[in-house]
Parts: sequence; C-alpha cells; structure tokens
Amino acid sequence: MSLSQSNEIAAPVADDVKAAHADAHGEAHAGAHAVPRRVLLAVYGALLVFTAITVGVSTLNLGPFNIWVALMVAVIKGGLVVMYFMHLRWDSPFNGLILVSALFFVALFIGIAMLDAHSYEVNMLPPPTVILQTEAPVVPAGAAAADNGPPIGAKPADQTWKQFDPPILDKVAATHGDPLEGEQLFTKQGCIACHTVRKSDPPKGPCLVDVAKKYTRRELAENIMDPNMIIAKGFETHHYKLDDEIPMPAGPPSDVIDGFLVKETPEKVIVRLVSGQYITIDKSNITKSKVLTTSPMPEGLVAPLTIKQFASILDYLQALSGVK
Amino acid sequence: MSTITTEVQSVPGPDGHPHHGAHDPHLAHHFDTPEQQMMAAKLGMWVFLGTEILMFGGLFCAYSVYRNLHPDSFEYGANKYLSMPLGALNTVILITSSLTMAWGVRAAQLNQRKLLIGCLVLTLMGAIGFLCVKAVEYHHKWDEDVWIGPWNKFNGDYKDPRAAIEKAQAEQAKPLDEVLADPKATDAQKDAARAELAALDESTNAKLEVAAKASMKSEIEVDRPPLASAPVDPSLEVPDGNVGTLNESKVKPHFVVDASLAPAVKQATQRELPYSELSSRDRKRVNTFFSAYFLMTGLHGIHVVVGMGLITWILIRSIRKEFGSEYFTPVDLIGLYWHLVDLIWIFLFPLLYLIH
Repeated sequence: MSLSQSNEIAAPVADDVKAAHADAHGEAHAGAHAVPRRVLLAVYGALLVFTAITVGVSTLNLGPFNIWVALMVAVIKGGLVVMYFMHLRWDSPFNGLILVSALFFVALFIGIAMLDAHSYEVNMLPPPTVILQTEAPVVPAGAAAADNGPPIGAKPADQTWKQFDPPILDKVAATHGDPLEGEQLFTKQGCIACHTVRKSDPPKGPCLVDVAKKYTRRELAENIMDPNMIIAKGFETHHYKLDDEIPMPAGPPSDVIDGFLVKETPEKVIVRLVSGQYITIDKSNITKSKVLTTSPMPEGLVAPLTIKQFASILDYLQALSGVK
Repeated sequence: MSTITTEVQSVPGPDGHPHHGAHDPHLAHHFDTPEQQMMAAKLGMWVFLGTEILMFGGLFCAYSVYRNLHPDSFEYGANKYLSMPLGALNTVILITSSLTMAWGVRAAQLNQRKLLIGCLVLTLMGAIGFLCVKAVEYHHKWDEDVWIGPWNKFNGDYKDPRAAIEKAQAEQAKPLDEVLADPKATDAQKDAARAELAALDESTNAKLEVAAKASMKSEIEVDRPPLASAPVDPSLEVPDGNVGTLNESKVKPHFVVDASLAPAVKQATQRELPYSELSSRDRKRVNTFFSAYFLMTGLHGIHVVVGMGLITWILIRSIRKEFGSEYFTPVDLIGLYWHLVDLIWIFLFPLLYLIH
C-alpha cells in the first residue's frame, strides 16, 4: 500500500494490476472494484462522441424521429454513466432494481398523463390576453343609447383587451338585451358569414340552431369572446399546404387551404371552406397538412359592442334554440 | 464515533459473539462487516437517487404534456432563445467533471490521496464552469425579457418596461423643468438644468432603445421580411442552411450595431418558424416553454450547487487523510450523486436545446 502511494504517478500500469488483483482476491473492502482507467477513458470518449452525434442529428430534419433519436442517444449515454461511472455493472443488482423501478414509475407517470392530455387542455388554459387593437372600436349605427355604456373593448390605451375577462362575462350573462337587436348585430358583426341559423341552410361553419341548448349563457359568452376555448366537433380547422396553387371559388388561386375536412379518400380530400364552398384537393399535391388547435373564428369580434349589445346577441341565440 | 465503537467492542454482539478484535474505526456497531456497512450505505444512496429521479420525473411529465400539445411553441422558444453551442459546452463540462469524479473514487479505492484531491478539485472546477455558462445564458434571457413570471414578454402579465422608464424620466425631469420655468433662476442655473435634462433624455432614450429591442412588438416586426427598399448588405448573407451561425446570431442580438440593417440580418438568418406563423394558442404557450426551461434547469442548477458543497466537504476530508482503500464510502456516494446530476443534464440538453 505504501508502495502504491509513493509511486502513484510513476507506476500507472501497476495500479491497474493492483486493482484487478485486489478485486480478484477480495482484499479491498465492500465492492471496492476500482474501475480500470482504460474503461473510464473509453466511457468518457464514448460520451463525447454521442454528444457530438446528438448535436449533429438535431440539425437534420427527420420529422417526428428527431426526438426519438435524441432520446435514444440520451438513454445510451445515461446507460454508460450508470453502468461504468456509477459502478452498477459491478454493484449489487438490487441497486439496479431500485433505479429501474424509479424509471419505470416515471415512464408510467408520463405515459398515463400523455394519454388524455388533449382532453383536459381546455382546463389548463391560462386567462389569455391580447394587445388591444389600435383602431378605435367602431360602434354600430343605432346603438348610441346612453344607458348602453361604453364598448367592451374601449379601455384606456395602456390596458389590454382581454379575451377571457370574467367581470365582463358575468355582466353579459346577467344583462338582458333585445333579441331583435341581436339578430341585426348577428348580421352586422359578420357572424352570418360563417354560421347558419336554420337546419335547412347549406352547411358552412357550425349551425347555431341548438347551440343555446348545449351551452349556458355564460359559456356562450366565453366562446364568443375567445373562439379557441372550445372547438365544436367536426369543425377543427385542417390546414393544407400545396405544391401547386389551385383555383379558389373566390379570389386568386392559392396554395394554402384552411377548412373543415368533409371527406377523405386514398387519392383526394374534400374540404369545406368557412364560406360554405367545397374544394377537392389531390393528395399528391399536398406537401404539408395539420389540424390546427385554433378556431377559424376571429378574435375580438365583440370588442366594439357594448355589454347590452353583446347580451342581445346571446338573447338572439337563446331565442333561436327556444330557450326561455 | 470511535468512542462509541470502543465501548461496544467489549460488549457481545446480538449473536453472542464479541465484535472482532481488529476493529475498523469506521465500522458502526450494528454492522457485522465493513462490506455490509458499505452495501447498506450504497443501497440508501440509490433509494435517495430513485426519489430524485421521481422528483425530476414530475417536471419531465409536465414538459412532455405541454410539448406534445404545443410543439410549435416549444420549437419557437428553443430555437430563438436557447443557445445550442452553450448547451453543448455545458454537456461536455459536466461529462468531464463526471469523469474526474469517477477517477477520484478510483483514486480513493487505490489509496492515491494526491490524485484523489486533484480529481476533486477538477470536479469542483467543472461545477463552477457549468454554473458560469449557465449564468451567461440566464443573463441573456434577462436581457431579452424572456425571464420568469411578469419579466417574460410572452406572459400575459408582462409589464412593458418602457412605461416604467418613461415614468422615471418624467419624475427626474420635473424639478429641472421647474428651474427652467422659475423666473427667479439665474442663467447659470438654467444652463445647468438644460445640460442635465439633455443628459437625462439621452440616457432615457438609450434605455428605451434596449427595452424596445426586447419588446413583444419587435418580436412580431423582426419576423416580417424586410421592405423592398431596405438596404441589404451582401456581406451579411449567411451561407444556406448554416444553422450554427444562425444560433449564434440569435444569442447576440446586441452585436447588430446599425439598427437599419437588423431586418436584413434577420432575413438572412430566417428561421423555419417565425412568430407570425404561430397560432394564437401556441403564442400563449411560448411562455410555458420558458416555465419548463427555468424550472428544469433551475432545479438542476440547485443540485449542482448542492453538489459543490458536498464535493468541498469530501475534499476537505481527503486533505485530512480520512479516506483510503479501507474507507471511501463518502467519496463513492457523493460520486453517485454527482453522476446523477450529470445523468439528468444528459436528458435536459437534447430536450431543451435541440428542438428543431
């Protein structure tokens, strides 16, 4: 022992031999397997190489496989650290069992949380805010009655127009307006461009005949203020990027199509635009497609309205559904 | 401890046998052999490491859920605000310090005291280096207003610092304006007040400029292609698809001296995913990426700080010649802890820095 102390730098080979010797004869204490220096250096080199690999691969575009390659490299690196730097290869297998169980429970935790993450996302939304539009709110004609109060969006310029503004939502839900004015505003504010109010109308966006049966007054107000809150089933926006432009029913040809998916065959997809027209797209022409989590309905539609006008729209919707 | 074991030595063990005569000063009385004691210590350490993994597991879970739901937000935040070269540098630093730690354990096992001390010092330096790089990264994020809570411009509660700057300027200028308006003030006093006002305006404008660069407005503007009339300096063109330089230019926006050239630089280094292409929902979640980033790297950073304390402790003990082939359990266990810190970073690096 004193020999190795005095020669610790001068005799590197002797150390390895001694370590192996001590191990083989159980001279050193409790699992005192000294990892040979060659192994330490080899593991270090491998870790550096794998770091370079994971950085290199990240610059390639492998689509969804990037993350899996990166994770696999990380697992290999982690395995090397655990087996050699942390001695697990020579250690009691029970310690390895503890590690594996911890990893197993983490995997279980993440896996189960991921299973239904989409379905509770609505509840995880923070109260969102957007910057107030710079244009002054336009008050529609015939809505200048003094008791109506200011438009909802008319706040001092340093405040923001909130999409989720509980005090306003509460007020709107509690106020009662005039369903007839609501009907006029439904046209004036452009709701009618995308929504139908009779079951016999050709479909465009979601038909609102029964909407007030499904949602409370307050929920209706929330969804008008923040259109992304709940997206009705079948009305998720499908976004397609095309190789070649195709003619559009209105306006110039376009290579970006947003619409509701109506039908999908092996060769084609049929998409309904919010304006109600149908478009057929060859699948060979599609370069990228995805389902957006946002609603095509614009935000801030009610900003120019007063509380009472907003309430009138709710009255109209409830009248449509025959509620109250 | 030694007094206890000395007392116990004469007392028969639970099995009726007295403890062995050639007793080990580190052997606690409830263990039969040093081997058994060390295995128990290691088992305890592994259980602790298991709980550590579970604790980080919660953060990894939150990360997975949010990234899965909003991949674009994460891609945008990571691509624009995280520096891959700095992350890679820190990975190399931690791997190297893991090597020196493992070597230190080996040195302790083989009675190489000087080598053990050297390895521990190197490991400690690695930890300091890691934290220095981390400090540089956090500092950039502070400068660019992507810190935590209301200091993150993607947060709904974000307060634009420009309002505060202007308010402070108005307050400081008030007494000076009074001097200027005062008919009794002498010319010399007025000149001094004017000079002070000019200096104040200059410093305020400089502050406002810095704040404007970081503001949300510039976030949207810089992503627009430059106007046709904007001067484009060909020397600013970056070779096609050169992601490395793209990353560097992102970390150092201050290096753009001439503001009029900024759009051209941005255009030349156009990312695949500009802010303007994020959906409104994904925009709200960019903030969440930074929450994940700061929580995960912050908790990891705390572990590095704790590790530094532990390594210093065993460094002092090894200088006092307390470790050798007979007894090196603390070195071994703290080594395990340090490797776990490295292990977690091995996963954090690709998950946070390498999103493309």
